[in-house]
Amino acid sequence: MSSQAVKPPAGLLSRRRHPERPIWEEEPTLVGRLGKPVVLALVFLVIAFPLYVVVVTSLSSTEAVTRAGGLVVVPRELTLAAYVQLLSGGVVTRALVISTAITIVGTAFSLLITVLAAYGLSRPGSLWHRPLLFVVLLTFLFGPGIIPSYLLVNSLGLIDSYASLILPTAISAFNLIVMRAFFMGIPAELIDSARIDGAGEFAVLTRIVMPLSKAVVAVVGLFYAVGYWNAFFNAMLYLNDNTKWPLQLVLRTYIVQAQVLPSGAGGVTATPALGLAPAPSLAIKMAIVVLAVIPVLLVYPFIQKHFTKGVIIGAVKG
Amino acid sequence: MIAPAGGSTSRRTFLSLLGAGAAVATGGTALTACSNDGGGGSSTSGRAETEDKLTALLPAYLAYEPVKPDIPGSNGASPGFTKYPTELKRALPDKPVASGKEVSAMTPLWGPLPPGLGNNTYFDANNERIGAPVRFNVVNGNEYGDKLGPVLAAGNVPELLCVPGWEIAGQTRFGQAVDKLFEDLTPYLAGDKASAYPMLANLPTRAWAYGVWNSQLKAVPFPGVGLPWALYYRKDLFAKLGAEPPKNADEILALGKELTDAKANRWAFGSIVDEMARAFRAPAGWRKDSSGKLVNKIETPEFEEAVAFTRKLFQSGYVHPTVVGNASADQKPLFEGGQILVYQDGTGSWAEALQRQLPINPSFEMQAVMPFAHDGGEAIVWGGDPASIFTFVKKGLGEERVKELLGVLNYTAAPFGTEEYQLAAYGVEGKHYTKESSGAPKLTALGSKEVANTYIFLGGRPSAHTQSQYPGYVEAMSAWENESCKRMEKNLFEGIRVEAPSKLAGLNQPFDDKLQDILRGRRPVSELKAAVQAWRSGGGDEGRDFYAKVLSDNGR
Repeated sequence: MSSQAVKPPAGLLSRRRHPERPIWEEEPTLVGRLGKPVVLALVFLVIAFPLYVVVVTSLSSTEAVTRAGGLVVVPRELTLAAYVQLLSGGVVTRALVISTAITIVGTAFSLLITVLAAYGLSRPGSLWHRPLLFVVLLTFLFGPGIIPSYLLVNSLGLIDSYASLILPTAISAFNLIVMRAFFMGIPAELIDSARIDGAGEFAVLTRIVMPLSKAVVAVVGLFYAVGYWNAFFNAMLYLNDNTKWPLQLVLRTYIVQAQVLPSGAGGVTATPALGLAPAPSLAIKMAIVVLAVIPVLLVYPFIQKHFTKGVIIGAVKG
Repeated sequence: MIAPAGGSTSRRTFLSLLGAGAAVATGGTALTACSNDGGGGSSTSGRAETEDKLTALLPAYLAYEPVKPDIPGSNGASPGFTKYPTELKRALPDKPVASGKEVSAMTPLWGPLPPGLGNNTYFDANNERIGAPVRFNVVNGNEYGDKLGPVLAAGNVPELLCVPGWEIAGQTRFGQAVDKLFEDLTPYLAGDKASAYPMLANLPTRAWAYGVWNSQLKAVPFPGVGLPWALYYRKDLFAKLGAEPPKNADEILALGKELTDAKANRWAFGSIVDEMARAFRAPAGWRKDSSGKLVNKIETPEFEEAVAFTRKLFQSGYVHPTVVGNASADQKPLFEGGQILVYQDGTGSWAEALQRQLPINPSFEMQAVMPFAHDGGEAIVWGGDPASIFTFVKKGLGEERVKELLGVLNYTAAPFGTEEYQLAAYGVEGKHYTKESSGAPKLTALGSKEVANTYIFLGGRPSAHTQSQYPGYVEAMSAWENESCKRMEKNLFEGIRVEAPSKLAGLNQPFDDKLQDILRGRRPVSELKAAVQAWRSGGGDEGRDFYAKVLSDNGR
């Protein structure tokens, strides 16, 4: 859109120092200059304040939490007790290792099959690509349901194996479509010229398409990794051996600690043996939030540069 | 102890009783509920088992009292023990699993995951007494139903499976699953045969009646008193402010005014709507009107009055803003922090709050308000089922193995005052717990790490108030529970375990959402009638027919 197409009103024009420029290239007014940081600071606070409260509460003693009647805003008597309780005992640390391994292996596997499937489906002449695409799109509309999924996993003999956490969710239709759209945007001339040089499909994929697709692979990989990291439901369903639980499922056991049961329980409590469980502290719950979020916060900055690029390219190019 | 069978109690239970779907009930002497899939399109039929017709199936009661209670429980209330026994009795001389073969079990857990078998000395100590390792698959209590459905559908059940009663309504064709997957315990436990398992024979007969499915004794019950909640108040803060616990609705209003001081960050009430419905004498579930027709709680004028009254509390600003904003907000920290002075919560939360607060605030004192009626007259109390959690034994394991597994449940049913209970609940003295001066067990660092409510959720044991380490607690709790049990309303369905069709569970949320909006002034109070009407046409009327048939089939 050219600057001539949008003519500001005459009154406004006369007050502007560079009327020939479009309005968004004009120097900001005093109000704009002062307003921008204020708005940005507000946005920052809206995002950072809850995080701050979570961290401070996780570092607070039970007294401080009680005095505050819940979440702690003003830090007093900071202690690492909640983290010590979580990380001592070996259960959480073991789960941390399991979760990390599942995230790495799962993401790698998911990326591999997503790239292969997306590439195949992005080539118009490939075998059965239309019916296959239709089947993929169908999964957007219909989920399999918990019981059929369980029956399938059970009959495949995957109950109690780590593969049950990866295989059923190995490919996401959304990620596949994003990646396919990206691949379709790669100029056909590039691929044709590679073919002329003697490259087969596999060489085209690995030597032409993949180097051009780093951004979308990074983004889709991030989607998968966050998905694997946060997943707990499948582990709850498919893993009977509690020592194989991933981190999120173990952390959840702290969240539901000593909760009052549905009143249908007729007075039976979650802790029938009293004096048993240490009091469920809000500090522990918040420490769990911090523990669960840290890895994602650590990974994000490294992938962020690809993020907008990958999504936008996948969405509009072509 | 014989627990009373009260009416359906909680919002959840009561709403699960709002029946629609197939009209099914007990069939004469056979008791088997016959499914009628054409009845209402429900995939799951409801069913009912009646206690008085089950006598031949149930274990003969054999009392076992290792310690004499200081405060007896009457009318089904739990006995109270005001001190810890100095000496524990050994209840079972032998190891129940002679073969030594590993036992698999699935139980819910509301607490941190303990280290697994092989890395957990608490498990080792119990398994040593049992004679075989018990391998627990614990599942977060809140997601237990999600796992139960697929496990039952696939028939992939462990040898011992714990099923909380409140999860049953959500399971499709649970009755059929019970038939297909679980052992009939009648040949092992009926009548005097139970004497081979003295701890199981010590469970209340009323609770056992709830373990019957399809005319067979199928499950070992976890007995409960059935009181769904108590109305608590902060006695320490009441004393400071010169207030007294309420005895009628007017005093509730007056307390609201007296106690609420937003500037001091203090509000009189948290969530109390169920308690108000009770105080206005609305029934817990169904009652018969003068013509003999069943009327549901939410259709009664008493319920309407209670809603209007509770709405007044909200509109006067006497309810904590967090509760106003979020009906399911966690109110414990607000109550314990002194921001809410009166609220209703489960009966177990009393001792849990004392456990949390007394070490950091020795003057903390809470009490349960004695049941009162809105007009100061005779109060009624809502009751619940005498058993709420069940443990099933997998079918087809052979007689010897079933006997061993019942032996494990016999072990876990040992009551307060036995070595077995102490070991299952707290582990080994000196290792997992030490005794405080009061005699109360206190977990050591190792105990906190390893001990978890696993064996405790297998089977069940007679309930008791034992936490005498909190001064005055056992006495106060026993007084409140005895008074409440005395006033428990007569339940039309007493002794009948009614398993409502599974479709009905979905009826509760829409009504409750509207109710919460009405209380908070987001909808006019006149919309209550429309909400009730929507509930009736959405399946409430069908539920009425279902329950009417259950009653008529039982000659009531």
